[in-house]
Amino acid sequence: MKPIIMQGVSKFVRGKPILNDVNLEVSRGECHGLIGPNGAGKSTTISAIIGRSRIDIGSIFMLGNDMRTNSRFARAKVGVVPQVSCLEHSLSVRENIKLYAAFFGLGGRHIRDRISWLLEKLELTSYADNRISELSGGIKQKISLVRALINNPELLILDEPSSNLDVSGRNSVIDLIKDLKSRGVAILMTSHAMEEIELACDRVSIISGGHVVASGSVGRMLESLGGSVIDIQCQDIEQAAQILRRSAVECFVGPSNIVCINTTFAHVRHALVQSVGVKVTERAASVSDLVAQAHCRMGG
Amino acid sequence: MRYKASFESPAWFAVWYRNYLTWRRGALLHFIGTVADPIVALLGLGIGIGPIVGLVDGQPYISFLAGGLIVTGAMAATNGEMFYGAFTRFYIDQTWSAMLYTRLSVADVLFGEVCWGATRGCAIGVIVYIVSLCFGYVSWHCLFMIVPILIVVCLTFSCISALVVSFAKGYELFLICQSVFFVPLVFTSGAIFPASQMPRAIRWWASMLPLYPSVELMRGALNGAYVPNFMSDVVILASYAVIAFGLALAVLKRRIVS
Repeated sequence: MKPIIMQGVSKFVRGKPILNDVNLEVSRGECHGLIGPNGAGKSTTISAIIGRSRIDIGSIFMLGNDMRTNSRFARAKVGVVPQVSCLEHSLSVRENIKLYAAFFGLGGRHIRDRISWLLEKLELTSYADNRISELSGGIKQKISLVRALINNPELLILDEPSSNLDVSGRNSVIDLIKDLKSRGVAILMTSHAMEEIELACDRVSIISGGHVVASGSVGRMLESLGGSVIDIQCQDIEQAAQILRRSAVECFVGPSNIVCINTTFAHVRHALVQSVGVKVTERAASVSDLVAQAHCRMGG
Repeated sequence: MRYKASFESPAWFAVWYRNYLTWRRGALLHFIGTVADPIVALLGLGIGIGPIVGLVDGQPYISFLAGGLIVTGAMAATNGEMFYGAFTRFYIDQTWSAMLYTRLSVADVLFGEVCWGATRGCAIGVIVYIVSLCFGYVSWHCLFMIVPILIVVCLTFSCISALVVSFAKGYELFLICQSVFFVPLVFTSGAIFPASQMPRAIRWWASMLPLYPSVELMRGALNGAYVPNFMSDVVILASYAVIAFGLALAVLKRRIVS
């Protein structure tokens, strides 16, 4: 059975759908990215999966356990890196991780060895005896990740795992994710860092308005955009978008640009030939284009 | 840090242990802050007012007061830990949130917190007893009765405080609770002056509240006297504990799993 199976999950708050018929599956050894704009429902989806958010319709199975009735057993085999780390500031790094192991009912030499191994893996050994209050945000983020791995989880849920990390920190997280995937760990992650999603995830689900609007392998979804996109930057984005649509160019408006897909550079330049102050460039399609496209299709 | 738990350890104990570890870092300050209040009250009221009052229920006023202050000191320490410690961990610091990503359930976390609150209260009660013993206000014969009574009393108040915490969205509620519930409770419980001084109706009403039976049990133990209402006192306290814990758990489950 797949580690995560969400079937037709809906959640309503005061009659308004927060999650709307969400279907999601994550296999063993797969890293699945859950992406979308702010307020799209990513965190609510994760809360529902780990049993912290009640659902009104549908079912969620985590590691074969029905989360409505058996969430405790499922959580014992899951690691979670939340957005807010909730580390104990007065305790040392090692004590924090040991304590978290105790919450799982784990202790003894095996856990001490595992802590040392994990700290080494994420280049944190030199911080082992430092108090959390003495450390930077990036180091705390890495410690959250180590903490989530202490119970040797079969499923890892990462909510913005590298939000405070520098480039080298992000790279070590991506390397760790790849290593975990090769060991058969299923990973579900959300991130606003699209390059991280592209590097780490095998498949993505794009969520917008509480609904999964697109799902599939990253490569195949980028191919659906035609491989490359035309990026337009100009003063009056709305007017330029209208001109393009009149010329039958498939485009969607981002916060500061227009992205055209399934078209040619010449066609776009021809459509905008009379517009002033327009910068047109061709570049490779990225996951952020997929998100912007999904958001536009949802009327966002 | 020597935690040798196995999967068979009660899950709530990890919560208790977490609180102990973080408390240990600032133990001296915590200790002085909590223990000072009842000891100052004991010495101030006992030595200052004691000679004016004379004998109360056949004993010096300060000995009478010691029994009350062991219980009220333990209650205040328990409430303080739950109101400010547990609430901060639940609502402000999101410590509970991290715990609930593990195998721990809301019931485990709440029970661990209740036991920790009761531990803090019991420790203060025992310290006030030892100080009273050192000054000769109470006898040492009752030592082995004091601890079980303190455990029952502190667990009860810990559960009641947990119920208040379950509704709280800020620290203001605790100030209101202290003023309108716990302070009147102290003055109607017979902790400071004999309950027989109060009108009958108030005395009956107070006997249904949790502090009155607590003080009655403690005084009985300190005086080595037979407590006629022993069973009913224990039943009243246990009822408060069970009902308050059950309600707190239901409310917190609704708040946490929203």
